[in-house]
Amino acid sequence: MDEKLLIERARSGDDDAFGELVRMHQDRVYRTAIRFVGPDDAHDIAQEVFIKAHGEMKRFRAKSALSTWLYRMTINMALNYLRGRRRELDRRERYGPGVSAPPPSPDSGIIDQEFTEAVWQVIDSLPEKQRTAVVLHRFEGLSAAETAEVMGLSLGAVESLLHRSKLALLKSFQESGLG
Amino acid sequence: MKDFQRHKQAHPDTYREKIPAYLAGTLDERSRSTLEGHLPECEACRTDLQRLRTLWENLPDRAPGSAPLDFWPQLKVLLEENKIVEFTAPQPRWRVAISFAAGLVAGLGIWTAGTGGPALSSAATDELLAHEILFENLDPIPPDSMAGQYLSLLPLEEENPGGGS
Repeated sequence: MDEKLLIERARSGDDDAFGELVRMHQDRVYRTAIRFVGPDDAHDIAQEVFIKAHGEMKRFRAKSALSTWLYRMTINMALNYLRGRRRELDRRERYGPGVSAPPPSPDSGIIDQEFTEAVWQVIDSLPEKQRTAVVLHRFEGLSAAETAEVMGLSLGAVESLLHRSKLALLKSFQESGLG
Repeated sequence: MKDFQRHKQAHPDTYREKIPAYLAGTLDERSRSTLEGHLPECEACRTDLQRLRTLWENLPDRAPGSAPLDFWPQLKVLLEENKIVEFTAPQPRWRVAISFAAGLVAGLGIWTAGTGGPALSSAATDELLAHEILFENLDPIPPDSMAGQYLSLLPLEEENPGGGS
């Protein structure tokens, strides 16, 4: 069914139409959440995004694409979550460990997974805007113009972010012996 | 890491440090020419360049291709639960109760200060506030509590028989 029609029906309270929209967009929300917060917390973030979207559907005026709106919500929620987690880590470092670190996952011995995680640790260390541009453009496959629309920036600003992030990542990969 | 150390000893850092900028296309013309002149005679730098280029072209993704199959059914349950919570949430009653309690405490304070009535301790104030916030859901204020004893001294008690003891 046409997405516009589904949006209209979802806005008038039709949960089946909303469910159809969820099925159409759940993969990109889920993938984006994982790329920001990792697999352990992505499910919660993705659910929160759609719960919020459900509550805000009446206010969605479809001036931008639904996917753009959902990307923005996912990124905002993921970054807010990460800021909270960083504050919590800072607090623990300052006042001592309140909760012990989680045990390593059973697959942690797999070299490919370790390599992937090492690469993503470097990506995670980028400044928020650079990281968002990399995730959307490089991994989600959005064009620079689409990335600019989601991030609410000019095309030039996004291109600059992509250049800077590429240089920063390559330097870090080289320094860490990954590349 | 050992490879890197050997590489570092065998080769001046100046060329190696330029490789990321070279790949990112941010090296100035002169430095780019210098590095390109150096590469044919340095296997270590060529290897470094190739490894970085390969990594950049094949960055591993952290995410699987799709959400779990039961994503929507799980979400639907959560949305139903949210609707129930929204429907039964006693927000307006709480706001009324809080306003009422705040007004009562403020009024008692003014009356106490203005008439020289019995002093209201902070513990009694807190107790009153807690009871008034929950006044629709809890038992009346116990007469032997600090707040109850205070209320028993108020002249308004007879005018408001349901309010306290």
